[in-house]
Amino acid sequence: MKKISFVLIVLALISGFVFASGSSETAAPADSNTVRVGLLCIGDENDQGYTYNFIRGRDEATEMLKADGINVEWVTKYNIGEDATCRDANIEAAEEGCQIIINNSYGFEPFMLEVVDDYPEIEFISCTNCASAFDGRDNTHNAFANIYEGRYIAGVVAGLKLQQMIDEGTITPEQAIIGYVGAYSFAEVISGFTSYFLGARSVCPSVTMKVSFVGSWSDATAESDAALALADQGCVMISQHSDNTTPATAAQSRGVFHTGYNNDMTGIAPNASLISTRIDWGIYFYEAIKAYVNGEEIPQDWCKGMGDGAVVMTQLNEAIAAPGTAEKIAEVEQAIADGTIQVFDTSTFTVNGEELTHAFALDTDGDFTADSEEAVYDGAFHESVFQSAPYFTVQIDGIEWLNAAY
Amino acid sequence: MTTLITLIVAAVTFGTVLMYGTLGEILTEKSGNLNLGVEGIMYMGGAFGLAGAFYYEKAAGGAASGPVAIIIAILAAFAAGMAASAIYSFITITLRANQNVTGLALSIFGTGIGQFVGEFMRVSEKGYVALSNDLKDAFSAAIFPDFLINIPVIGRIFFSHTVFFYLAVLLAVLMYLFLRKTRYGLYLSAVGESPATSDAAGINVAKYKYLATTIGGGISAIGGMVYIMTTAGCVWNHEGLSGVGWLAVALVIFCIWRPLNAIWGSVLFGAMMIMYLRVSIPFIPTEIYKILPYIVTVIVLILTSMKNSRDKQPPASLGNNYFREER
Amino acid sequence: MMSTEARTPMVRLAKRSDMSPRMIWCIRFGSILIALLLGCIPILLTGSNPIAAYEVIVAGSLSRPIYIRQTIRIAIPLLGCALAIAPCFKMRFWNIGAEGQITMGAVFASYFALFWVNRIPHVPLLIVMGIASAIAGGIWALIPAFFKAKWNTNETLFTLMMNYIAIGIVAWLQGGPWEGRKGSQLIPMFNDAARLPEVFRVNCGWIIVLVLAVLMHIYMNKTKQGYEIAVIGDSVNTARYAGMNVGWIMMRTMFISGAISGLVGFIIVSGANYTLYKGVANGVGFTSITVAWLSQLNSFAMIAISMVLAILEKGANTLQTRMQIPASIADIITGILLFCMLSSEFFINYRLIFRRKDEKGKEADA
Repeated sequence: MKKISFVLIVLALISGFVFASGSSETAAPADSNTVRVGLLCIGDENDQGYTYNFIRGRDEATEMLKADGINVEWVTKYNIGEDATCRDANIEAAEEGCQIIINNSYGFEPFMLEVVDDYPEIEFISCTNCASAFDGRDNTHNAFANIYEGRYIAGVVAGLKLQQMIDEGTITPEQAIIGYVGAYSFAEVISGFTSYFLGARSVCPSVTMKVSFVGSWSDATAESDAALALADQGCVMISQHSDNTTPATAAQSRGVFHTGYNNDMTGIAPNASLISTRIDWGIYFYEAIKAYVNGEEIPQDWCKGMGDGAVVMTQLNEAIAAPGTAEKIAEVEQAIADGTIQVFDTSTFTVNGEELTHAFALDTDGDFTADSEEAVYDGAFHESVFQSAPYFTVQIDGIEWLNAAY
Repeated sequence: MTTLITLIVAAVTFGTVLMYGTLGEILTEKSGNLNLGVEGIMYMGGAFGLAGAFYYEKAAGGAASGPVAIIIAILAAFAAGMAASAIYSFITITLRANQNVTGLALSIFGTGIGQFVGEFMRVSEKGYVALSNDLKDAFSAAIFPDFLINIPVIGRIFFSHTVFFYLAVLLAVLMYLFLRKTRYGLYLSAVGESPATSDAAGINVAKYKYLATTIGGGISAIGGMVYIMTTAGCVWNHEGLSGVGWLAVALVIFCIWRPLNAIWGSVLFGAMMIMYLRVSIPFIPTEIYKILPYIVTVIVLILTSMKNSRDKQPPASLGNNYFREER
Repeated sequence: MMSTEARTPMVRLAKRSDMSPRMIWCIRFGSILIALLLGCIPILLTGSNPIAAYEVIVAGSLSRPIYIRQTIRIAIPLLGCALAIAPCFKMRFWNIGAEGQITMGAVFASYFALFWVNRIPHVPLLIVMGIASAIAGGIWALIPAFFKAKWNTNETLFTLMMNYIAIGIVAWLQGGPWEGRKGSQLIPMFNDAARLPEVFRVNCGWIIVLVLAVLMHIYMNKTKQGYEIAVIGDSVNTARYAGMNVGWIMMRTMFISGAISGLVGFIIVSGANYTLYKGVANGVGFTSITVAWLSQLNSFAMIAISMVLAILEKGANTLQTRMQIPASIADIITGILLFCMLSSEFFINYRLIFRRKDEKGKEADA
């Protein structure tokens, strides 16, 4: 019995080495105008949200690069967890000859960083996270876009709709409540819902907001449950910072309105979804890959906004949006671009009844509290200036956190 | 009050999923088979149910009708569940392998098949897989007319649910009647309690075990389909179902193997799983809510074993195979 | 299906124990081959060539040193946990709570890794983490064993529930007291001092589990306690007549089992993941049950089987990268493999005696 088991093991190992010969096909492409890029995704296109948006960016960048004579071979891996499987996926992509590896989720970064030192010649990109600034490595990068600008405009669209409902007497001013499905009580999410809320309040002064955290970036059922719960608690407008489309479906089923994230959701909820905002990752992928092929540095920390087309609004659902919304969107877009509107204008919100005068942006010593770079100056909180990843973590008045444990 | 009503309504939505899973597993366990593959079975039910409705709509185009899609989804899920538990039955009943291990293997296998089918559909459709809005609405529509739903308080609690809930309740009642009032039901319980005695009395033990396990698996699988079609937005979701099957196994214990208990038990468990979004109690972390169902189940398990009253025990032969030669 | 007609069965069964070891292993290998053949079906469905796919699986798991290291890293917890489960299953105590025992072990190891890292030097810290995880896993296993011994509470269902309670506790820690960056729900990565050293560039957990394999083999076959476990497994009543304290032995065995599982949790967090999250056990507790059972609870066969499953898992990952076949194919083939191997035991343990005379009936059935 014992002997046979040993024979088994030896056999298993030997058979492995025999097959080993057939594996040389995966080396990096020799052609200097062809680049192999890994894209590691937390979900897949079925989410019709976050990961789908990356896939769109991937395909868009491929087309743009092709016009420049650059071929991209993508190695896309789906449904990676924010855990040690992410490290294995990074190794996998590196071993399969990827020259650039893009990690698409915030929680991937710590596991990615476990691998980067073994592959100094490969460029690693962690979207939406922030470690590259202080990790002292040359081959790590971060990227994000000023999505708070898009959210502000989505908020304006929502606010106009709410104001229209108030004016028509459908709801009282006090009933103008927004429900927000957030993933975690985390800077990126806080920054997002605060800008959204400020956008809405700029056109509908009586609006308030309830935020429910589901504790996951992508959990279709929990997002749906949270949206239903918010609607049941009197919210007449739902928005979301989570990966799936189920909040839109839920809003439609409860007869309330919705604005989305990552993808146009008007097809899924034509009677509820007004507009969405999304990051156009194609812009970044194009720049980064092009820089790599030209032998230039990929930016250590990349961040662009609406002015550069990195943040875009999807088609407005004219059938249900308040009249004059399209004009207002154009006006606010222009004002954000030329700086006449500051999204986090400190005169437009209070914290515990007082104006915000001080907040740090960066965490330089790794203790998870910001300790450097004053973000409040010139009458506004300046988001995504000192690093691409959002750092607005202030809890402002008018927004109620329903379950802050996340 | 409104909070309570909306909580109950939402709990029913989630509870319906659990009810199918639980009812199927009760039937299975009544025959003495402990099928731990419910998780895998429900994954398969979800994937094949969605596939059935999706390809039906693709074939029928604009002419696709809601009721037909629902029936096809139910049948597809049921067939998938039956197939999965037929494998389990064959290996445990005929080939006499260990039930726990076979069940766990089925969990692994079924999860794999479900995810594979889901991903396969996505890749072969070159994009994503979802139903049209009309069909989605058909799956989540309330079946009673508005005037009933609008009755204060009880209207929403009793009449605002989807067809799947009422089917599940009907199923629970039928299963109760079957187990308590019919000869075959009594035989089935006897098989689960003491296969040797039943065999001696001329009952075909293998036949009862096979039928109960495969039909039970089919019922459980419908739960997976209902999950995808009602709470997960008719879209395949890679991690979507994770844990629901195990929760159903827990619920079987909580219901002490009685179908009628499954009706309120599943709504209660459903409430516990979503309560963190609706009722926040200070100082209680929301994650603790989510383990409440398991803690409650453990307590029930302990209490029933301490009391040791005969009618509250698991079927006596649960988890053990029957070998006629060893009788 | 056989023996459905109670009166005159087509096929009779007789228990047998006379099969030659060579024949036994032929049947087992045959079942693996059949499983691999059946595994071709889903691969064919995706329009890929199954032989090429299997080549990729093997190449992706064994063709490069780093792939082998990754494969071994997957195999370590599977083997360790299978060793933990073996004594329980030998005793016919159906402990399916290894998932939770791993998790609790990981929690206690992480506690020291996170909060004592600056107070204790490297090696003692690792020892403390190891001991803490073993005790935590052991106690987590002891709870159901206690109720089983005292009130005969169903241990299968009890241990199953304990898994989800343990996972819930980690989820709470992740979003609550141990959270790193606020709101991120991520526990920080461990400091280097709390990480297991590497031997041949794989964490030294592989040495630990190999030593455990030898120790478990000795424990089960050469010691009095191992003998007691075997007696209880054969018949609880025999054990009682022989004067054994069955409840005590159950609790002792479960504690040992849980302690090993807890240690596996420590190896996972400190040697592979370097942090704690709720999916820390990642199904290992369940998969390893099948590893233990298919190995006939033989420590050395477990090494081979855990390697096979690890090869499948790692290889399927590469399969997704290279051939766009969903990585869930690993679960499917693992499932088929388990089904076939479970079935094969039947043909080893039973002799089929076909009814001689009426060939007609046979044809009609077929």
